[in-house]
Amino acid sequence: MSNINPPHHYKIALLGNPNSGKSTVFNQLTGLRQKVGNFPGVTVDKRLGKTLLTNNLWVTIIDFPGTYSLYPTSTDERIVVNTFVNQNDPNYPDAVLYVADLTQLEKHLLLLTQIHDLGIPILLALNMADVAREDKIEVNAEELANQLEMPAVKISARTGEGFDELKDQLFQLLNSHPKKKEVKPFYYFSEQEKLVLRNLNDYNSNTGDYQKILLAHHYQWLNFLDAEQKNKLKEAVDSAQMNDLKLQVHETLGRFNRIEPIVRKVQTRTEKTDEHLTDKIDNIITHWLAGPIIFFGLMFLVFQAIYTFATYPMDWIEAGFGLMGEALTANLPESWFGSLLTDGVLAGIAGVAVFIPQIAILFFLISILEESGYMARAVYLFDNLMRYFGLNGRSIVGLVSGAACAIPAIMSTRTISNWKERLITIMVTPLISCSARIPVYTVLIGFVVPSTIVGGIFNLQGLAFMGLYLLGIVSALFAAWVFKLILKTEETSFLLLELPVYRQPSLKNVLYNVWEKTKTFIVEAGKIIFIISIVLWFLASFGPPKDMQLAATEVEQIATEQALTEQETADLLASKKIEASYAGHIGKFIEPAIEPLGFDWKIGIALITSFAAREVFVGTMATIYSIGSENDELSVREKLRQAKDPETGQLVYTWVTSLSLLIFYVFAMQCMSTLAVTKRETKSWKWPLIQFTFMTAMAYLGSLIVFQVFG
Amino acid sequence: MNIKDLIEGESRIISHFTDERIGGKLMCMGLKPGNAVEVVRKTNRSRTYYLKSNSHRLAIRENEAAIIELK
Repeated sequence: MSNINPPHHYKIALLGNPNSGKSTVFNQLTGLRQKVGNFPGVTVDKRLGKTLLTNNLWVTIIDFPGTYSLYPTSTDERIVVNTFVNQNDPNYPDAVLYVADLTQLEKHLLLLTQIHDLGIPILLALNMADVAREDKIEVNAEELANQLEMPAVKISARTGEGFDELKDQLFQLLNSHPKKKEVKPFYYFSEQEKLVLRNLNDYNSNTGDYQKILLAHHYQWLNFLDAEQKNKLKEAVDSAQMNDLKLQVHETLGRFNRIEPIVRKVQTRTEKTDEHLTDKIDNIITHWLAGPIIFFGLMFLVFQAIYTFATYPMDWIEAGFGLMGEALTANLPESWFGSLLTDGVLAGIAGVAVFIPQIAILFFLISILEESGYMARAVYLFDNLMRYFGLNGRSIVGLVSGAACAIPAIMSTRTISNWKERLITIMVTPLISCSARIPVYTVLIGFVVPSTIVGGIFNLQGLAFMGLYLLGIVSALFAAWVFKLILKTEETSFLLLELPVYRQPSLKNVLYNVWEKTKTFIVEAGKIIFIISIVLWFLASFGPPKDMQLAATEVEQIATEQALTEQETADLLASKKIEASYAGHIGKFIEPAIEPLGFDWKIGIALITSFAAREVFVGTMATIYSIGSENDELSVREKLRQAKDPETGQLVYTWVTSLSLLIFYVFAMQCMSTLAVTKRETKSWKWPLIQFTFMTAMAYLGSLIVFQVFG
Repeated sequence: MNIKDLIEGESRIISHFTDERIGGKLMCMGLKPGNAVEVVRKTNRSRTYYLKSNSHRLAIRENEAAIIELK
């Protein structure tokens, strides 16, 4: 055991087909010792983690995207090829831990044999041993290991069965095959492939034969190759008149022809006479009528659950921050610093923290739907409808997740291989009302709709809420349809989707997912909200000295003339100071443009800050209305309700202004993080700019119509 | 005949694929010539198909279904 060189830190690649249970294996091995990064040049998530093997050896596990073969059809799958055909890639592993589903062995062994032919040492983890036992599928792991000439261990990632042996075998593997090895190829090349290889005889001597074949297939998009290498590969391919697709099929068939007898030899299936549970469930869930009803029922339950369960922790968080604010105000001397801390920093942190329960619950429920295999059925059910709008069945995952947050939703579109369908999904996803709109909706609906019960059970405000969500969905589909008419593409669109067997979701996986997504939200959105809160506090607290002085003198004069009480004077001073502040100046500057929508300069300030992140709206209003005022104990909603125009004395938030504002928030592109993700995913500034423009135009027009018609 | 000619619940043996790109991918997903395939369901107006072959379940569109030739 001593010939492992301690200074070398081993990298193990975790590979397997989609639905092989790879993520569960990763979570089981690494626990909380994991982090998320990106593969170089693309935004595909790279999960890294550490695990302890026998003999106190720590190794790094890199979780690669689920892949069917080394002939990729999506960005995710290309990552695998890009890494495994390039020994100089920073993620090139010392060994591969290959996860295969014992219950679907044949299919899962295809990629395994491809990796084998690249000469990388492999440990085969035969996952779902528990399910296989239930399904009466027996596999002789020892015989399979002999046949494939690699170690194999039966495990169950869900129960943790076999993991000690897995770690021990991984250690043994690193111990015996520290370097890339010469292998007896699993696949026998065709004449044409042999010709390509002869043409590439003088290509880099470190490159193995199968590796050369893959380079020949994929050289056009492999980004690590230089121009000279690409030329050489092109010449070899052209002179051999290599037919890409034919060879790919030949290879796949060739591999399966060898895999099939091996699987037959090592596996015994006791044929079950009863219908599989998955078939029974699918009889109902994929039914043309029952399917969509169940889908919308589930979505309704998801949103109900969010509102029901999130209310309590949200109240606690708000109350907690309220108490902290009071404690700080009571204990800090009155100064700009104290004000910055309570009205700026604390308000900013509270603004982020209050979303955590909603986001966590939503991701929890969506993860369960994905893990159980349900989401794939939703894709099947809605593909037809989605195509009508220029989308893809897979868009449904993005659109549903968009109700939590557009950022992970846009990232989830990577599984859509057709560029036009993917682009349209990215463009319209932010129109789905995300959780950041919830506080704005909550506050403003209160001004538009009374809280009365209709039809015996439905709260009118709740129905209005649903109406806004529906408006978001309808506008997203409409926008998608318009994009479908405008965008042209030659690329054919297809759907090839695996419908996995229904499984009980692993709680561990779901919780890790929730933790990861919530953390991303806190860090990414939190940074922006936090900075904006401080900037806002500054802009609302300070102004051109002359104007600020003038405001103070004016208030003094009015107070004396009208014999105002101390409280009234303080309120008047706060309001005049805001008007004289930098924020007031900015708000006044844009007021002429937003007046036709029914908005004043105070709302103008909130709109401007909301373009960074819409959830800032309520916080901004809180900051604007709380600075200097004595009525700190009043909730933001109360403050807004009581807000009056100082000149006319009329309420600012009339129902029509509130409705106009609501419509604005349904449509407007108010999230810098989403724009940044759109830029990353489309690799150009063009699309986030178009997204920003069309959504803002929709918002402006929508509000204009509402205010001009009803105002 | 191809998959589009089958009705729900009917199954046949796959003979070959008429499109290599899609065919290659289908094979990786468990749909192979020589194996039986069943049309479990079709969505409204037969635009999306739910297929089952051995223990593999897949959803594909009518265009992909048309490339799967049957014996």
